[in-house]
Amino acid sequence: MIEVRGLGKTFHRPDPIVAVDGVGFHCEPGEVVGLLGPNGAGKTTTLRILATLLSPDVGSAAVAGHDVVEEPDQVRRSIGYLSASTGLYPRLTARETLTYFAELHQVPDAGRRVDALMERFEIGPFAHVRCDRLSTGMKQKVSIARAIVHDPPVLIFDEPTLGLDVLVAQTLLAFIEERRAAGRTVLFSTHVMREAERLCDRIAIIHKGRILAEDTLDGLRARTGETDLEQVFVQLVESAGE
Amino acid sequence: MVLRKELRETLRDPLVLVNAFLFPLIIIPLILWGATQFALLQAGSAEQEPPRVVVAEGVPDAVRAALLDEPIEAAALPAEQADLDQSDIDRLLRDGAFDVRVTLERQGDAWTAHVAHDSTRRRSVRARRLVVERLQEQSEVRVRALAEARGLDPARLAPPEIAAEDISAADERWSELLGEMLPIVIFASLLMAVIFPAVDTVAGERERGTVETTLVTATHPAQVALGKVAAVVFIGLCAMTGNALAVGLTVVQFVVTLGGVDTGALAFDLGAILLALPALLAATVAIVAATVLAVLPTQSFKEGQQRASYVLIGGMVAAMLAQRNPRDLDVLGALNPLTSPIGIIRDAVRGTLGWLPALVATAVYLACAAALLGLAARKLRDESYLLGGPARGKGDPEEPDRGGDA
Ligand SMILES: Nc1ncnc2c1ncn2[C@@H]1O[C@H](COP(=O)(O)OP(=O)(O)O)[C@@H](O)[C@H]1O
Ligand SMILES: [Mg+2]
Repeated sequence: MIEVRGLGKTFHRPDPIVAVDGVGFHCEPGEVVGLLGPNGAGKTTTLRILATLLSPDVGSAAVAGHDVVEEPDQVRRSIGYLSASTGLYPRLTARETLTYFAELHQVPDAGRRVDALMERFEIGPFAHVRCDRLSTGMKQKVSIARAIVHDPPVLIFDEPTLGLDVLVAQTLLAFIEERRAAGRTVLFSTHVMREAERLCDRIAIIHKGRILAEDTLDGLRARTGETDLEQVFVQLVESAGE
Repeated sequence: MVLRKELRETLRDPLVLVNAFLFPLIIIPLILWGATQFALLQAGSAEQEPPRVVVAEGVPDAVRAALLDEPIEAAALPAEQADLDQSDIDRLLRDGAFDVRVTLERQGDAWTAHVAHDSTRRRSVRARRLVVERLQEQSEVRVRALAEARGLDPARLAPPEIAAEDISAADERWSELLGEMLPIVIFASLLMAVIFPAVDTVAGERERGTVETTLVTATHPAQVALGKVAAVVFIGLCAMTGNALAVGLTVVQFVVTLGGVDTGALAFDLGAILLALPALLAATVAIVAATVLAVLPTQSFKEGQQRASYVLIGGMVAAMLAQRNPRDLDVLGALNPLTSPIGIIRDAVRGTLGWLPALVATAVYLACAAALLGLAARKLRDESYLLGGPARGKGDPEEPDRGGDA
């Protein structure tokens, strides 16, 4: 479903900085994969390349069988993308927001789909409230509903729980599990070990733009001889530093 | 679709409404209307109050009688005249006890008439004008009498008559006036209405984190971007039209009530205005593109607004420079996109816009818009300008990028 090979991206502003350096990993259908790494590791940049927002300097990536450089339109149709700093249009209502995105995604029968989503996420009572007046939890629900308004086979979430309170974060994690059960591919980035531990079928650990390891949690434990993911991480970073 | 959403959203922004519509549509006419009323009031009150003139002793009776004829009213100094020195009299004049005091001084055959007045009071100024006119008439009368006494024909002494004639038609004068006032107002309102929504669609959306997701949909990002640009342009043009009408009508009202121009003489050349529209449309797109380009490399909304206000100021300076050249726009002038918008608007108002300059200007604006948008697209492709750049507060040098030309 997602196939990343030797991906590299260097930013030139203000100084040259190698944000992503030969990243490679893959995700199967029905799999939840976590991209785990500290701040500045290159998670966002990688996910943006997958979402066709940035073009890679080297390497290739394919989503749902489509190359991100060759067939960006197909890729965009196949993914539900939730960015790290995701925001809503403050002056649109929840319903208008969902309808707008359904239209952008060219969803047939948009009205019905929006109704269904509002029911699924219990947004109904707030359908006509402007987004700037919604509570944080409700906003996040609208954001998620917006990302999957076209029922995409692949979900790409960039630090989806960042800045959320515990309860909302729980709802979100539950939603990711539900997607997996529905056979969707989920790739999400995080720097929180526990989230990765709880949800992921496999984990790709990224540090300074490089993938240090990509394996199941058990595989990672076996490889490093540590049980705690945090220790696993520390060990990987240390052995990479040598 | 994007256009509809953007319009809906933008029009819900109270700030945009105030900036683009309320201010120009209501405030400007109100101010002009107030000014008209004030001017009328002033004119009216001066009409009603007769000038009061004090004529000092020693002025010949014939002159005195001529000076104090209608509508001038004779005024007298208080009874204890003898005690008044010059400064007392001046004070009385300043306090408005009367409006002008005339004294005659004679040295041999030469006469000097002193006309004391207070230029800070309208009534006094009016009185002085009347008094001076009458004194001149009187001196002519005297010269004529002297000439006759010596057997000369007074007609031969008369200075040549000066008959100034205005051969311009009323509607020409009128369109000249509008051509002077309207372009800068229209252009300014266009800039104001366009630039801040443009900042909002770039820096505002970035700050709120709303762009990123809109660019990852089945709709091509270029299409989304064009929709946004179109929305801003549309709002700008609406505001501009509204402003042009508001200011135009107010000026008409001004001219009709104060200038005494017949309403029937006011006519616009619809053809010239239609000719200007495509050019203005293209110019608006170019302005939006320039703003977008200026704002893209900024880090925050504030900085974006600041950059945009440079664009605004630059535009206004160019407009003012262009304003100083009142010639009709020719093809050469149309090639300069910085100054030609004013020329286009002015000539459209005056009805003198030629199709060739209009066409050339349109082409130039379109080329500018395309080039600027192309540059913006290029910037977007290889750096994540729209996406908010690197995470902030993380050991990253946060020095703002100066270059708009990399
Ligand atoms: N638009 C950009 N311009 C310049 N540098 C960037 C930009 N985006 C990210 N970077 C840099 O690239 C590196 C990786 O960033 P990012 O992918 O955002 O990491 P993460 O999401 O893992 O925190 C960081 O050093 C960051 O400063
Ligand atoms: Mg990130």
